[in-house]
Amino acid sequence: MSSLTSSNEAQAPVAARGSSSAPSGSRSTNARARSIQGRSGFWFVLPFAAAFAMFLIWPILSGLWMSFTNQSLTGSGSAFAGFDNYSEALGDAALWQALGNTVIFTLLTVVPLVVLSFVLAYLVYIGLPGQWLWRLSFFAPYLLPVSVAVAIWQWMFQPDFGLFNGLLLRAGFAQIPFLSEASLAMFSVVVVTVWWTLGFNFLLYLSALNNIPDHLYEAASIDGAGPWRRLFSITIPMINRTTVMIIMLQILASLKVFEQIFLLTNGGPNGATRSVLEYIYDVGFTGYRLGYASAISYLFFALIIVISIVQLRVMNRKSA
Amino acid sequence: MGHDPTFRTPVSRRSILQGMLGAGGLLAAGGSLAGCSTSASASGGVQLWDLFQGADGVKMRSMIASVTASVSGLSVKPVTLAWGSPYYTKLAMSSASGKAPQTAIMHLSRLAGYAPGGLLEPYDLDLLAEQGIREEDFAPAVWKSCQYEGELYAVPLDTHPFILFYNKDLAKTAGLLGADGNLTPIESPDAMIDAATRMAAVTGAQGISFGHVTDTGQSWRLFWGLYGQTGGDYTISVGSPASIDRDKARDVIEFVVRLMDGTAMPATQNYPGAISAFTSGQTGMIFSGEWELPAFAEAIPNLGAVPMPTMFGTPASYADSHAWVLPRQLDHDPETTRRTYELVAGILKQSGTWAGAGHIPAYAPIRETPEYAALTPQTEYASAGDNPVFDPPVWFAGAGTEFQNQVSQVLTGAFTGAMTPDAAIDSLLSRIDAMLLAPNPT
Repeated sequence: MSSLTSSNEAQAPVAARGSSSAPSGSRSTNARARSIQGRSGFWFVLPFAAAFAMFLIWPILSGLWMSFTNQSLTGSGSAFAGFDNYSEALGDAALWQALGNTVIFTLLTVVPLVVLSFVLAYLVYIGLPGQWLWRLSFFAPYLLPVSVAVAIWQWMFQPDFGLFNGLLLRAGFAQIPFLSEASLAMFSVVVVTVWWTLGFNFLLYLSALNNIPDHLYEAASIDGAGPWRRLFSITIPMINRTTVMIIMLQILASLKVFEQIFLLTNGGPNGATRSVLEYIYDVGFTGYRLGYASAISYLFFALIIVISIVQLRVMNRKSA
Repeated sequence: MGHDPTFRTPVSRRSILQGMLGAGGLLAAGGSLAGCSTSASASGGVQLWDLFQGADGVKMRSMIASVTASVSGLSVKPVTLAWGSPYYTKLAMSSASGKAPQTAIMHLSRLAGYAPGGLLEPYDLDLLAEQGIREEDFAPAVWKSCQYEGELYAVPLDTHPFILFYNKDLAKTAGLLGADGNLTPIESPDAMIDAATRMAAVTGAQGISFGHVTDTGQSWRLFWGLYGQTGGDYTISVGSPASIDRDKARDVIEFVVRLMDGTAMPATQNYPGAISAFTSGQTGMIFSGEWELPAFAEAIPNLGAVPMPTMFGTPASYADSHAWVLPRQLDHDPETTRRTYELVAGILKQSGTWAGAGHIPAYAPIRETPEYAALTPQTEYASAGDNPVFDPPVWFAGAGTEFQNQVSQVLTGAFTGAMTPDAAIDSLLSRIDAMLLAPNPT
């Protein structure tokens, strides 16, 4: 970015000097050229702007309107309900449970998805033998569709003859009800999620690591810095921005969790893994209550905005 | 931060990919939905939606093909959608828009949520009679449950109960068969536990399978059928608080907990796990819907089946029924309507094929054919169709609903010992009360 900014700055004075010394006729030609440029820009942007308005702005506004009505998926009843849906949401125990689950899921996934992906990327970066194999095996799960990833783990979590319980039984231990016990089910979802999505962060870290100039390490070595010193004084500070970005992306992605939970546990046992998005889906598309589902969506949206702002503030202060 | 190139690239790449996928999906969905409803009615064809996959789907397609071949000029555009709540969401949305398929499969248990809101159109009994379909061709209880405010809103295709399958070879070794080569009737909870324990001694693992963990209906199917056997009363209707007979409900839950001792029955099986355990011989019996018959028959050469054993006094099996309904249409074309009735009637008369998938045909003339009488083990459990226990007829209950999901999760918790039977009953009642109080969106 810095090179781009400096070239802009370099051009600007030239243009200013040119226009001041030029006769008035060429000034109007410039203005016309600028307006033609502006118009063609409009046509270039139009298709995207139309799609953006139709698929994002309009649904956002109509969703907001819907949240103040009793709108049903079956088309019946769209009477204005005021803040009824919002006040119902605040007193809805199932929603609070889902929110709690979502927060726990976010806490449990963000830490390993940041730390583990860094550790793995670092191990590959410092030159474990067979690099291509490590890159492939850490990244490959990310390429799987969620249904396939979940199907694999569902079988491995099976009681009786799943891989884990089979091994446990054979070794003489008791079975572990990975998906049927409330306290374990969330842990199982976290394991699947970490395995499945780690590859993306891994790749980001790997490219960030490869961008660190070698001469920094060389200089540090000459100054007598050991491997740990180089890790903490060069590597980690140099990839600081990547870490900030990964943490932010990861928190947002984890708050939005839906697919793997929906497929793996259906929110069970007894609601112990149901996330906010799944609750919105259940209320809106299974229970047909679009108005209420919209109100919950908006509350959650507001919460995410608040979290993002706080995050931005904190991160900015750190990286500054 | 926004100036950092490493920050922008991955975000946009990921969101562009997701956006492309999303937009593609929208286009595909919109295109197919808009395309099929208009083109089907324009060409005089009948559009049909069902939710049958696997062996059921193959049978339904062959029935449709044979009806199309025998009725001249009839063209059918069948669409199969995924089972469960997504199917009913799509059906409700298409009915609400008035651009629905001419006919669709619906579980009878969902009728109470669809007929009152005007999402369905009633059948014209005279037109049905013209096609040879009359009230006397169906069991009175089933016919009655197809009605709402005196009008017929569904034509039942089958009854599909929740029953007990068993492996005859293993049962013989366990000494569970009578002189006729069939399972000796199991008439009490203790007899069931005893039979399952003896079966476990033969399999070397467990006696009976039941997949319920993280499932959205299984625990409810087992519980509600057995509660029906106790003859327990219940009140689940809008306008009054829910109530069930606590003692009888507790008896049922306590029985299942005792059965799930890890030997007679494993406590933590999920649906596919239970199926695999039974087909691989790890268990010799399974509580299951009869719709799994084709898969079981393929894996187990000597397969037996009985209605849910009467352990609590009154014969009863949890059941539902696939029925043909007429989603609301904006445009009524008499020709298309007549074609739709021809199709529905034609499929009913083909339901001998449907029985091959395990289902009990609702259309009596088929049930009385020698071909049906020769089907085993279908006929061994056909009597389950005589005393079905259906879901309570309230708008929020039925197959693939949030109601079944919620009550199943509570019951699974009770079965696995995560909560006491009394806590589970309290939780059941309070959840049902909340649904009774919720505004009816249909």
